[in-house]
Amino acid sequence: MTPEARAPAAVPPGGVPSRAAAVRSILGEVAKIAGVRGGLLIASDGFVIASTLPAEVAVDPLAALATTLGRELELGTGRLNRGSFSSAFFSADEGTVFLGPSPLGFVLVLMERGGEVGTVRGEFRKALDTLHAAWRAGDHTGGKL
Amino acid sequence: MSVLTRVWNALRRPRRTVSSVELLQRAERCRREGRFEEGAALVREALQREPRSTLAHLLAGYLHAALRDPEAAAAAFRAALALDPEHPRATLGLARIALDRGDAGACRELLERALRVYPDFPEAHALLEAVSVVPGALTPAAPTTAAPAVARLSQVPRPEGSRECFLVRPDGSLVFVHPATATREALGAHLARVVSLAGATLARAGLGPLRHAAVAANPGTTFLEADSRLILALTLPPEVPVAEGQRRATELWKRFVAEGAA
Repeated sequence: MTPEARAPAAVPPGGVPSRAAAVRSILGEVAKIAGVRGGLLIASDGFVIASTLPAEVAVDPLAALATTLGRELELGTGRLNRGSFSSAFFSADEGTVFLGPSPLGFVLVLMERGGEVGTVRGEFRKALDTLHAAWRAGDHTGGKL
Repeated sequence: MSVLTRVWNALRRPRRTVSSVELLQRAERCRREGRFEEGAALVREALQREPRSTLAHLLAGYLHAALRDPEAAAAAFRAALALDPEHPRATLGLARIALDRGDAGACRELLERALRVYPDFPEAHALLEAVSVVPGALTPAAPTTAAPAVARLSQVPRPEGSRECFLVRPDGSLVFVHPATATREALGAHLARVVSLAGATLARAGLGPLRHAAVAANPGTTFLEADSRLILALTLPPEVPVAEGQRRATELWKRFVAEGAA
């Protein structure tokens, strides 16, 4: 995959942003929250649609694992009658990973140590809602992307 | 040349047909932009013209997987492997689906096969690392905790509003469960897989081992505490603030450990 395909797309000059651009710009906004190192927009097959993570992070293996984790959360909660998974975070000594489902697959956000989990979680969940709304705004076949 | 002649010439010119390569390029563009249905339709068209295209079957597999249709994705990956039996990406695709189905053994075998063909395959390496510690979904380990220990743990007061409380080992075996539901063993195995995959994801991001987590779903938020020996999962109502939920889970974890749960 080329870096161009991963960069958050900009609004076309003088035009209305496409749904894809809107979805990518949401990821760009999340990356601006204090303490956030960046994020990934990943398809359910593990393909990285957009990344705002720093270059030193190897995104493909991280996306492969995050998708597998997301699928486990999605399928496990469904199979075990635990409703539908809406968001999750996983904290370690050096930082936190936020993961949530999106119409395209999954969104992952990486927060460094010292970041405010509650604040980032709130913003992350808002971003997921915005993402779903942006998706619904287009037609379901993706024709307006 | 008159206008009429130009129009006549334009009408006589044979219409250019789109090649299957162009269809696949468009489908790949759709995939990159998240237009999965449109991409899948283009791949179907390409496959009608060129049914023996490994790339088209592979792309079909990716798009079906992205559309969360594992049956169609598996069929497409198998079709790609029928044409190219050692295709590492088609093998990886099948490995992911095996893991989705809870078959960690089949997933491991497929990943090892992909790595024999293509040793420098970062996604396959990352998944193999994770799957080597993931317990299988369909064969949860048998409970091993002695009855007196379970009796002691059941005396530990659980936080107000607790909906479910699980204490499991990293292999998915149950230490303590309240309430005891019919799906408790499957849920224990699921929790162990979540913790194992989350640990691998955190390690890959360079953040260290998993300490705490919270998974929000419709009926409530499940707060997790984990170390190398035990996993605690405490489900609380959705209205409990995350900091408060985490505090209650940490307190309960300490009490269980003090009662010799580890």
